[in-house]
Amino acid sequence: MPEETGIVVVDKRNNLPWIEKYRPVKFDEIVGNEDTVARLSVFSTQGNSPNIIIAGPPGVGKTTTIQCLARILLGDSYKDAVLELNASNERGIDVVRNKIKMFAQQKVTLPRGRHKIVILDEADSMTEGAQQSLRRTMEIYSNTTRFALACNTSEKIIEPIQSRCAMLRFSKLSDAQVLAKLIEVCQLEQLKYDEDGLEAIVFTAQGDMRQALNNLQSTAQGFGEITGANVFKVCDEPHPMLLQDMLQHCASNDIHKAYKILAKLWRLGYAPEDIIGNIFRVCKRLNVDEQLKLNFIREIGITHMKIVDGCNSLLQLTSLLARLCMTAESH
Amino acid sequence: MCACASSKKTRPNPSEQTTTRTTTTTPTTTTTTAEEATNYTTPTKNVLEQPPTSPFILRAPPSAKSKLILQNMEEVLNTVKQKHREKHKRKREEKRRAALLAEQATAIEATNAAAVPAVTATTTTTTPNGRHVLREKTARENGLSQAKRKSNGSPVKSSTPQSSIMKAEPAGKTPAKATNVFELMMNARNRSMGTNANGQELAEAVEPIVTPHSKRKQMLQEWNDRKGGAKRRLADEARGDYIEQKMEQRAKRLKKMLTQPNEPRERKQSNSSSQELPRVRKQTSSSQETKETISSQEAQSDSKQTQAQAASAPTKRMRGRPRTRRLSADVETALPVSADPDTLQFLSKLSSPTKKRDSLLGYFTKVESPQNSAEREKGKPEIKLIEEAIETPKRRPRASKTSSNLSVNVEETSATTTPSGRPRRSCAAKARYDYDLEVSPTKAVKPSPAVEENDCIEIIDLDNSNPAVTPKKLAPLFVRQVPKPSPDPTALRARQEFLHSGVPEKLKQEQQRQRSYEQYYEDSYELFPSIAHVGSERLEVKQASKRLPLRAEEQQEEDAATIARKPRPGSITSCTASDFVASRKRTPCSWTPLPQLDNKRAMVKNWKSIFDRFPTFKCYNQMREKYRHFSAIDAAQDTQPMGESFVMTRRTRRSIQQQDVGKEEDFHPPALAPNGELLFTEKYKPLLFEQVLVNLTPVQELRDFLANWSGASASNRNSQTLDDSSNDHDSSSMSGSCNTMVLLGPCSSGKTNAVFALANDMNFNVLEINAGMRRTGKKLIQELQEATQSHQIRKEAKAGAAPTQQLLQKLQQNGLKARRNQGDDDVRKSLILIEDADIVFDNIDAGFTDAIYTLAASSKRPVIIVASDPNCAHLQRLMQQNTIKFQAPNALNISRFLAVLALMENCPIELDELISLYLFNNQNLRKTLMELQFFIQSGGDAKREQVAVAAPSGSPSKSPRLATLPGVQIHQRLFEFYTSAQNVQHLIPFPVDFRLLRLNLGELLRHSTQLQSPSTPVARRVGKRKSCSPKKAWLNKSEAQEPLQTLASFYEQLSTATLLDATLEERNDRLQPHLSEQLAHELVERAVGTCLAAKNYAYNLFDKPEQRFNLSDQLGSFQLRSSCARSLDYEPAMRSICRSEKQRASLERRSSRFYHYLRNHTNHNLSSFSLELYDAACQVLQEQAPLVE
Repeated sequence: MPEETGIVVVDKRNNLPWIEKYRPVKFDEIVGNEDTVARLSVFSTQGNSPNIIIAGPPGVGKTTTIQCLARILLGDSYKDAVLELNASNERGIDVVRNKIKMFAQQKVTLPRGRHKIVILDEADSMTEGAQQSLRRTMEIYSNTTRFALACNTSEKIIEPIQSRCAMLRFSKLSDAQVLAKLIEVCQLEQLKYDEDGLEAIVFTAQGDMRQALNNLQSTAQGFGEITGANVFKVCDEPHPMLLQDMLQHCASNDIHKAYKILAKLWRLGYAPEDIIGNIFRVCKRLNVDEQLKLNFIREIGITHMKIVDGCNSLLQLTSLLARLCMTAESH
Repeated sequence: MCACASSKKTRPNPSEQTTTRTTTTTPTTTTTTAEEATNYTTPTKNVLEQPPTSPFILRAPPSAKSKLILQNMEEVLNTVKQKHREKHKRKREEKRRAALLAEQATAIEATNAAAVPAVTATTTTTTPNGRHVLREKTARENGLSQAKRKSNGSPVKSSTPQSSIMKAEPAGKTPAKATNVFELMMNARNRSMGTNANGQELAEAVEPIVTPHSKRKQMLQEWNDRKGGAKRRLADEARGDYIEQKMEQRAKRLKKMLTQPNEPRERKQSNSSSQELPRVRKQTSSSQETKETISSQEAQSDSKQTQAQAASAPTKRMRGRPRTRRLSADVETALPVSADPDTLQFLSKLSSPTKKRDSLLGYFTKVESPQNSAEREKGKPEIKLIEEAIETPKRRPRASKTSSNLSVNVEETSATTTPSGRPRRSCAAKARYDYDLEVSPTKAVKPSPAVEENDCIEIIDLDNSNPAVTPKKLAPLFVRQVPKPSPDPTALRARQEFLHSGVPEKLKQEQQRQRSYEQYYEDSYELFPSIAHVGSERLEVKQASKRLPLRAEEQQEEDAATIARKPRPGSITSCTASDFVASRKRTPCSWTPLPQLDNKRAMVKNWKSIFDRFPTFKCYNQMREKYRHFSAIDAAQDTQPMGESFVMTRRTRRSIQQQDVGKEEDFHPPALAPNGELLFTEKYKPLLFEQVLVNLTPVQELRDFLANWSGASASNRNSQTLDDSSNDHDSSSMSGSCNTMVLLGPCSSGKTNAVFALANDMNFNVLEINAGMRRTGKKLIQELQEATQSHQIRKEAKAGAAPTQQLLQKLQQNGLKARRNQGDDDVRKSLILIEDADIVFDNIDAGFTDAIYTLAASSKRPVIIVASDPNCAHLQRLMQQNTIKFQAPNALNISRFLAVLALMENCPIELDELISLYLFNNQNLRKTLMELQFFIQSGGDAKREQVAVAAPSGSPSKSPRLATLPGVQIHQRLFEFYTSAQNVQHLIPFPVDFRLLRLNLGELLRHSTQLQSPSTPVARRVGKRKSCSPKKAWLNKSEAQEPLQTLASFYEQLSTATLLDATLEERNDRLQPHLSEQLAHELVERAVGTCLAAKNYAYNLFDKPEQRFNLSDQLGSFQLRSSCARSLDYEPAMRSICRSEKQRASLERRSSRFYHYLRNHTNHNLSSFSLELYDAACQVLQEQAPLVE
């Protein structure tokens, strides 16, 4: 992100949450999913974008991408030529039949190759009826109006709608991408940070840029400095370092030390769901033999199943440790 | 009235105490009693009448000689009242009428509750000033409710009235009272509950006494209100002498009255209150004419006094100094009298507030600023009083007391004045006045009943007759408050000041300080303070200390760990900050339009040999024409020049092509909008029957169907005069069943397009009804009325037709012209197309189905119904008549079509890719086209240097590669882009579809390097794999790892993953990521990666073999109680059901029973449930049982 735009942004909106403050407005500011985003940026300049559905987990920039596309594609006529409906708007059958259709019928003078855009955010929350009544509308007015849908899961979109759109799948951002953005923001905000802190934020975010930025802001405003300890004060999770130690102990078949850590975590009051989730995440990056890691993950999965079933006692977690040690031994 | 206050002043806080008395004695009842009191006695009368008296009150202390006062006081009161009555005579009369009515009403009620009559009495006589009748009524009603409450209430409640009773009856039963309190109370209660007459009496007797307390307050309040400026004082002084005289006279009269107390009472009771009222009025009108009248006046004055006294009474009695109190009260009352005659003008001036109060408006205004007035008035009386006190040194102590008390009273009253509607505010001595506040509002609002005053009179008489006795009769409850020593004047003054001061200085200062502090705080701190919260730190310290032993150890460990890890950060995440710089340099995406391919034709020629049985050239030519056409349109923004060429038939085209073989460079996409303006689906859709390249059979059927309808016109196409008779004949001969046609087929199988193409071809005008319109049955019929009843629709009807884009319409028309060269556009017949007929929103599209059937029955034009659900219940009947089934186009054909299309768009794409994508999209052509467009128009293979590393080498069954000419690069990342490799590198697409995975396991295993040693030939079967024993490079104990073991572990992981995934199944909400899903995916992925060490290949997880059915999948897993049950019982049963149903369906017409039965048992995806599926399932089960697990 070019520096000057960042500064301008800072001046303009001082009190916004960072997630809004640093919301990309250009395609090259969008982090992650480069391939698709690059293609969309082509459409933003060349026009004639087909109907698209962007599906992906939260916090990866679906809405941002669509808004970028619309803004760049339509420029000044954004207001006239874009109809944005998200889950907070009513999007029942009537709205589709009236509002969207009216919008599609409206005449807006646009340069060639540009079309009005209907943005349906969180389209998977639309009722099936609304989607059904949308299907022919999408086709009939395709010469003047294009649709851009964003959703978390494409399965909730009925097939006829899917068949009228190009399906683009966004994936979680990689840690590096999140980190890069975080560093950018830190520099713009002139924060004191260290590597630990950023890494902790990246870990807690799990590829969700929104969460990463929110955590960063919370930490920055709560403690001023981005350090690992501060971050984990804000996002209270079982500390991955502890878990890593625990797993390492398990891998070296030292159940006592491992249990000590687990007991401590338990005493700190973490929910077993949280603990098992973080164990899994840490385990993914654990520096052990792949086969062993695979077995570890399997054991974790089994324990997770039990926890989901309601056996969420310390005993279950302890048994996990025991089994992990066993697998490590037999390995 | 001040007098009472002043009389009490002997004690510290008379009014307070009285109130406190009630509160303390019966805390629960205080409010109620007070309310009752207000209801019964005080109200408007007092409120309204007293005001004039108030000014004189101030003078009371100096002028009054204590002994004379007593008698005179009543007189004074009377005179005051008289004046008022004169003033408000008219109003009173009105009220009387109302009162009469009310009385009647209340008389009925009287039987019910004893308290009620009193209320009625009050209402009847009430409020000489005369509020509106309505008011009284409401008051009465209130009173009623109150009375009822009272009667219902607990004995505690009733106790307060009885206490007042005791006061009321001191004269008679002085000795007995003290002992008999309880008895009295009970009696009163019984009476009130039981016999009407007695109860009435008692209630009357009782209630007035209850009221005075509140009354007094009100009066005080009123005075405060009235209390004018210096003028008044002067006038008062002038009148002083006169007053004294009067007082003496009246005292005498009063004594007379006291001697015969029974008279008035009897009079009252005998005469219903309403009757008495007139009398009173008379008396008032003729102020002091006859003795009787005087006596009555006195009675009234007595009533006043009683009010005052009653207020002060309890305390006084307790004190045992009734006399003094009396005197003071008299003084107070007397003062107003002096004022009366002289200051009529003055009163009239003053009366403005009263007037105001009389009218509703005035009432409201008063309501608005009671506190202000109260505050205003607060100051004055005290000053005066004090001055007066100074003037008369004798009375000084008392006066000072009175003044202070007065002030207190004033304060109280001012506080209490706040009427009910208004939010109460009392800043200064809030706590102290709480009870007052509670009581006051009702007081202020309620009208004062006159009768009660009369009652009061009696009581007072009693009181007066033997005043000394009264104190003894007090119930012990009341005694408590007595023993307060009178505070010294300084204290009182201090207190007074305090009360005056409003918000104490200290508080103010504190507030200010706080405010400044807050401001400072706001200024100096950000919203989220950047400084660490002190509290949290402290907390931390505590925590640390709490778990010291472990903490220290772990802290060490942690520190050590972090320190140790610092050299290699990124242990918990996959990146480090050092990556940052590298990741920052992202190459800006550059887009260069795809180069025009010059040698398309040559390529197509090449392909022609490969694409057997596919009309390659035809396709190519068509597309070329379209491409040229649209790019020309885009370039020139003009349809005309190229408009007609593309519609030409193949033959003509061919000849033309031969001419301009070499000039394909003609059409370049315009620079302005290189991507054109249309979707591929629009751009390349067939406009004529001949352009339909795939799915020919159903389209042909449809054409035959439509040909029947246009057949007649086709024969005599030229003749404009289409004789309706022939057409009618045609249609009738074709029978009704033939006017509708149901097009069935999956999504994007070209149903609608076929209709439009044919309509264009055969010169039909399409009237389209789709789900995007409001299509209630009524509207549908209305809109299509014309169409159904006539054969032709003129051009204006086109407006109602589907608003297809103008361009295409123009094109279509052009095409028609080119084709037919006839201007028969305006004679186009109509064709009704009902889209999405299987979708009906019950609540919104009411009657839609019926309308369809009506249309089908009555229409004279062809009705084409498009649906995708073959089991749509409401269309069954139509479907049985005429159905054309569409199939999704064949993958091979369509891939060729797509390949040519891609070539036309300068982006040749491998057939494999197209097929895979097409299959991946569930044979959804439209989606494939969309994605193709997205892919092509965004630059095809974006990074050309990466040439197909992961080419789908694995699948051997794929068609041979496309031949390319040198220099032409074939784009190969289409499928990759849309499936596995879009944005993320997963071996397995993220939400693992285990069913597909199972089906594709064989393929997976085949690609495993782990299971096959590089040297040994490929082992296809698991059994074979056992034999070969590859070494694992990554394993330490490689010799121990047999392929079988790897396989076993692999399956173990898979099974765990499946289990994990199964737990997820209940939760359909996928808005938040599920850990188990992630776990499952990770497991599978890693298992594939590590166990099998599979090559990175584009395994085809995505083409679902349609011939393999898993019945349990269709029926929902939740019904399968166990796998055992399923294999033993469930599936065989299903199989037999399927079989028998199939047979039955072939025999019987009603084949849907099974469907309905089963549909209730399937939980998912109702729309896709089909009998066909079960038929197929049946087949599968019968023939290929082993295939199903």
